Amino acid sequence: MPHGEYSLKTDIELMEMVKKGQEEAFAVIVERYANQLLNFIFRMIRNKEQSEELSQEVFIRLYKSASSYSPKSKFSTFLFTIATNVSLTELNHAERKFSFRSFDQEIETGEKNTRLSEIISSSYPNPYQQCLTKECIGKIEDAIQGLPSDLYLIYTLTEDEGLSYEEVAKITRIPKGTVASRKNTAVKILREKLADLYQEISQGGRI
Amino acid sequence: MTCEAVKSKLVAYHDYELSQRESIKVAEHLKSCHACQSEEKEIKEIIKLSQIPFKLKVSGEFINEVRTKAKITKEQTGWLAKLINFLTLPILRKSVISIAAALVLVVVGFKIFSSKQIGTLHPSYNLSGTMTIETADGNLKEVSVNSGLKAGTTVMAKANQNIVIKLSDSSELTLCPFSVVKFEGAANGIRQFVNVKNGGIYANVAKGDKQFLVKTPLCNVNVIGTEFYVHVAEKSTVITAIQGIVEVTNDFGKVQLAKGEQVEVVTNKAPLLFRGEDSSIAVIEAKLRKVAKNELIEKLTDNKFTISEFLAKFADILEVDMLLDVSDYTTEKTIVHFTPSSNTFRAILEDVLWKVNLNYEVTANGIRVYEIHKLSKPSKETKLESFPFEYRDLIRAYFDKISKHTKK
Repeated sequence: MPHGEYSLKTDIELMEMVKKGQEEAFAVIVERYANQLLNFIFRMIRNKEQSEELSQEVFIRLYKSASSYSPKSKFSTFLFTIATNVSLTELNHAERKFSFRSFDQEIETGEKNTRLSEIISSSYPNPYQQCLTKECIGKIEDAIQGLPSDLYLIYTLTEDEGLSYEEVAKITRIPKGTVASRKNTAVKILREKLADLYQEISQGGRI
Repeated sequence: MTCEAVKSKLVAYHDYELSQRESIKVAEHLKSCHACQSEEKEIKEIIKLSQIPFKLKVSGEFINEVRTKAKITKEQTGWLAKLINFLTLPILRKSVISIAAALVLVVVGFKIFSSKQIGTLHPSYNLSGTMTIETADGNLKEVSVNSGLKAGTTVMAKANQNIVIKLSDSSELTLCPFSVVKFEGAANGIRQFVNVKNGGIYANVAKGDKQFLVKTPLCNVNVIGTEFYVHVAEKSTVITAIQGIVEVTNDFGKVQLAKGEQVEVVTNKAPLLFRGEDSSIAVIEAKLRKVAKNELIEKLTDNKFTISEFLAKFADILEVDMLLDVSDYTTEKTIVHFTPSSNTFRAILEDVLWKVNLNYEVTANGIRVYEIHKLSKPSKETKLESFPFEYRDLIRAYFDKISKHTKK
């Protein structure tokens, strides 16, 4: 089967092919999810090289456990369960050396050390953020940095990855109600921290 | 729906996570309430504002590197490698090979009477449910209530499912959600041989002449007749003794536990005993694990309770005390501040509060609950007598602890 035809297959169909030993199908899955996974892990780990290594680790685990994947559960749930485990394990190891995630910490991008706001502000697609100054982005970073790690995980899985509470509950193995209440608390903290900024922007007529 | 109730649901509303009924209610309320409207708008905007879109891309060699590594993995697919992969993280893998090898020897050393019926299994709640098992010859099956349990069967508890297993020696094991346990049956000199691969089991072992052996990836638990809780996680195993004497051994050492004591076992280390400042906390947490959460939620959502009734009922079903601080009681609005003793406790409590639609918020040291309805007869304190007799000592210990906290 030419590569192009594989890319028309659904994730579930591809996983079935991986089960049967078709490596090309696995390559398509990797291609499909590599960047999303890298960005997810980077949000947790904050080090590009390490995030790339861990993304590879996630795919290897996915490959190994392909036989245990059942189409009953969504593929993204399966993938993010592995990714969350890998990231949390890594964080637990690093726990004593670093604090959870520090936006203040210099971020290693591979070429040179950069502030996070410099990586992201150049390519902000969000209309609300286009008009923001670096100072504002700094405030947003600080607010998100302030989230406790358990709230942050729930927040990023629901917002950045767009997963449902049900899926997040399966991934993190906590009750769905707890996912909901943690999300609530996370938003509450962000609202408190960003209240001034919100006022400023909404009065400026930007929202 | 009141504004308070609507506001507590706005984030879930934004995420399309409310039931149809609830979201219609919220939407109706929003149409007519300006305060809630502006709150909803703020939540939306804050979430948009907080999205930080990273645009990192994997390096050009990424896919090829993954493929190469995957190929190497494929070559190591012997059954021992599979077992080791199943048991461990890559970091731990090297050190666990020796343990895994030892485990295999032990298993071979027992004479196991396969296909002999050794007990029955049924869910502790929701009696129409089915349970997933893997038979001795490796077939996955869904079986129904009161199925016979044969030696060599692996039982897997689903999320929200607690499975009670009655063994032929009248021991009773509760498999907590997500646990995977293999029942090997009787063997030479051993009454029952139970292999816990993942998750928690609450064991109430009947007295008998022969040993009852619970094996986990990192240690063995030997008992004669006792009550204990084992929790197997990816990197460690924790055992809590509820009653009697529990002996925990591995290649590196041996520890005996008395009531309320816990050990933690990690790779390549002897079991480490730790005594909390209050042994009853460990016992209560273990008991919490045993209760089927669905049952709890259903019983609590059945009726409209005042908070004090809710608390008493909750404690009653859980057969456990809850830490509660009722100092914030006012006649206007009833507020109860829970200070759960552990994260598990907190998670369960949060789940229940969410389901029964009480307004609550998470604070630094607990959960604050606001009651919407006024109490007809506000009771200033929960009476000790309202708790089941056998837990009164535990509750007393808790109350003492609270008052110490308050003094501080």
